[in-house]
Amino acid sequence: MEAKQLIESGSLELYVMGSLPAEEMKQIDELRKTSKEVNDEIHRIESALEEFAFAQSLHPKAELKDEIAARIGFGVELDLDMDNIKTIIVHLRPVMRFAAAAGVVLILGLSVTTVYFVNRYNSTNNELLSLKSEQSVLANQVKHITSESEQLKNEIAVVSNPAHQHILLNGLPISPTSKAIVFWNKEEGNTFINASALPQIAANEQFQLWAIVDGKPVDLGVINKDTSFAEMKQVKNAVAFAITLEPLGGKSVPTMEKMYVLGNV
Amino acid sequence: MTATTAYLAQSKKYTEEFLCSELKSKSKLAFEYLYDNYSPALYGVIFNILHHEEASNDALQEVFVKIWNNFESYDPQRSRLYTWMMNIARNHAIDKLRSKAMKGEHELKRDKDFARNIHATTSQFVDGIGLKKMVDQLEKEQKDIIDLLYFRGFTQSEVAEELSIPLGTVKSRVRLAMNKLRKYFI
Repeated sequence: MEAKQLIESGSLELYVMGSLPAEEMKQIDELRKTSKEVNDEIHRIESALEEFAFAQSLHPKAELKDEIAARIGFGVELDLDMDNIKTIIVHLRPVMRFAAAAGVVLILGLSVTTVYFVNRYNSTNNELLSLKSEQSVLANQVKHITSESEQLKNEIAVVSNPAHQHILLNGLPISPTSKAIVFWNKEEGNTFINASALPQIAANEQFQLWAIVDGKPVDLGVINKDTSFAEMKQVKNAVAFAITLEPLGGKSVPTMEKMYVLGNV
Repeated sequence: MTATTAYLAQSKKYTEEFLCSELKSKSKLAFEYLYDNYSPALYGVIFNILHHEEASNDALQEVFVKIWNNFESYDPQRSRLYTWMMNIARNHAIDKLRSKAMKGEHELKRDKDFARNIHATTSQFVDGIGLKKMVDQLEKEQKDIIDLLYFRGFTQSEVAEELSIPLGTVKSRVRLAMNKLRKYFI
């Protein structure tokens, strides 16, 4: 077909509007490559239709632009006209919507987890403090028990030592129920006292142990109020032991009228 | 108006070539320019086909998504950018119109109501600037042809069948109508 004939036929108008059968569309596709005349005519028709379409332009509602921008992946650009800014809606792609939702869920999850762990931390911390104090109580008890057991061991060693003579001191009329036991190594002179059966005394008083040697009282030391068993001063050749009540710190000579217990060897 | 479009409005219109390269890189700038310059024309085409605001809004969105995502298939050797976009808009709107849902909603048919409808269509663009003059210059026969082809997406043979005229007459009437339009615009 001659170019001029084709132009006059009206086929090119149909071509531009995509209304020709597929074969004819293809033919013109080929023809326009070689014929400048045809190609120029097609451009002119396109321009005319373009103008035609522009002439009947219709403005879509304003929100549509943001909606479309959101759909193809652009968020809303911040409007610089501050007076007109009321709400800024950030449109997200479906993927980003999912990400945002996931973010919110994650934050909620983390908040819950944080509260949970803060509570756990607090309770664990409290538990630790109470365990620490319990531990120190137990440590004191252990310390106490250890020293007590040491003392008992010593006491048992003294009591069970066959070298030690057991001398029972009985209560005198001033305190008939009082009792005490002296453990004495006759050869070495070592002396121990079990004073657990003596009565309660005032804070400014103390019991004092005496040995009778050659008819005279010999000071063997004051008995500590807190201890029921104690090692006293050494003595040899004693014939009797006695305990008197004396002012705190003891005296050099016993107060005879306040002798509580007495026992002969 | 955003800073970007304000800048663009001041600057000279992008050449199609530059716009094409921007569109290929899918820049925000390209979208802004494309939308600001072409959406009214595309919307006009769509609305003239659908005559339904909500459907037209949906269609415009879908058309922009199509243009954006299928830009790689645009061949500058074959058609001008606008012609390519306009054909996408037309085809999409026509497909929508022909879909059952739209027919039910809109009751636009290709049968006996057709003549009345195409008349409504042509009168749509008399509101355009000086457009009435242009449309008035077209014979009724020419108007119908343009409407069927342009706004209905009829093929040449469908038009011939619809108007009960030979294929050749379709072409000559189109040629005549387009020549009048061209005289008016160019």
